[in-house]
Amino acid sequence: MASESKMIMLRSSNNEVFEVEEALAFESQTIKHMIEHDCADTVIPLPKVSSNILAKVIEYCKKHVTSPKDDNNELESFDAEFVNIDKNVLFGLMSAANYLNIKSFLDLTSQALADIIEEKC
Amino acid sequence: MAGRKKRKLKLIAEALNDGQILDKDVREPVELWSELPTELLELIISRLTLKDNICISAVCKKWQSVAVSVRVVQKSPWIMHFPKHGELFEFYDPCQRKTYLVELPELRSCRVCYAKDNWILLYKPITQRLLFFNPFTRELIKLPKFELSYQIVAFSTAPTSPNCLVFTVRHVSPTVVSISTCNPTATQWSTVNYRNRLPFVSSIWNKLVFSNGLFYCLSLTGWLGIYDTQEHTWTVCGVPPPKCPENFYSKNWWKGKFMTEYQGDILVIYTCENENPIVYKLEQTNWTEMNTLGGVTLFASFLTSHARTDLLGVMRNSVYFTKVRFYGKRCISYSLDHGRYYPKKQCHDWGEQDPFESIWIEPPEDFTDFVKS
Repeated sequence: MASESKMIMLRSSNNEVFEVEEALAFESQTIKHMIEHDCADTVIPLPKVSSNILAKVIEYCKKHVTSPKDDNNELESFDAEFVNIDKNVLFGLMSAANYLNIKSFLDLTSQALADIIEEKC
Repeated sequence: MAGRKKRKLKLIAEALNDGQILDKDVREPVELWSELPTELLELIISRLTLKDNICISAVCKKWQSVAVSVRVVQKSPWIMHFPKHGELFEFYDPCQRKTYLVELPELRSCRVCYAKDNWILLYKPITQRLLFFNPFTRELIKLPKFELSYQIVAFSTAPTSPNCLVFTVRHVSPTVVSISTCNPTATQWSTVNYRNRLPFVSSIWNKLVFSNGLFYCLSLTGWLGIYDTQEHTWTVCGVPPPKCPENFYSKNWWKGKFMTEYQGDILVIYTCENENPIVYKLEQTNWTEMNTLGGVTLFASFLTSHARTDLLGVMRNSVYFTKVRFYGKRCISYSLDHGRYYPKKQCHDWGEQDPFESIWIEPPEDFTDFVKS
């Protein structure tokens, strides 16, 4: 059995609670900071992130944390598919990436939005 | 034309702002482009090319201010005019269309040879010395004595870099050249004779360009000699000169050529008095004629030429020459897009220009001190 990893509870803006592994939660520098500096209780409130968006953020982080480091092609195709969504949701993801301070996710979402603009120009 | 552009911008603005969607599960309005906070807008817009940045800055005032704040614009080269008499030098910026006058007594009795990375290489015949000069910092670096006859000389990078190499090719016979190289820190030049399988003519009409560790030397007949600075080898490239239209072989046909490099590609501009210039790119087996420069602007001068992209105030897909029409203060340029010179004139004989009169140089990022002096 794998060693016990600490679980973190995240509460979305509409009061839904998500339980995630610490390693995954630490992809977010904001959450990492709150935990390391004891700013949060057992549950970390994320009033700026809805559960829809939070679920997708967790999905992204899970993929990036669990994928083997050298499998760039798979991650690239995952990322490309991941941002192939309605642009309003993309906005929400970018806002969340910024608020949660997840650099790779912020780069991915902002580039996707820049690509949308470029297409229209 | 204005009406069409306005309509296009309206369409872009509408496409970006198409309606609001309520997220059914949470009943919270999802943000629109126009409601994006500035910091996020900055992150997105800073990823656009200069062309798109300028395009979207017309969408609305908020976007315009963000676009301008993240806009990155490259510096264009300047023309440095060498006076026939005296020590007052003229520097011309084609983007700002401004001229600066500077006294440079250090350059008395010097003939310009090459320019790159804010530095110029000059030759002083009376002392038989080549020297580096940075007109912006007034730094001067002398090289060991070397007699430069009827040949041209170039350097790889700024002399302040340890990898800097000065290079010159001298004609000995059609199958032998004499190559001399020197590093600014060396005490003397090193000269080696090389044999080339294919005949090669080295003269004052040759063009030199450094790229990826190689010095490319274009002969007056259009053949390319290549010197490898790492392997210390010299070979004449088997690619024959491009087939220009018949008129290009009229008088002084060997004089009006310019050579530069862009992202590893070697580009040569062939000009002819009564014809439009032709730009060729070196490929594996031949020179291909370029119908467009892909947004790049070329700055052509006899001794050295440069390529730039992302410039403001200067046309893309154009070649700029070192002649300025002071009425209107514009540089004479040739547009590949429109197939014509600006301003329009009957003919331009670039081969007849005095080669040592002017050169394109690269100003530093910050030249405020230079401008003040």
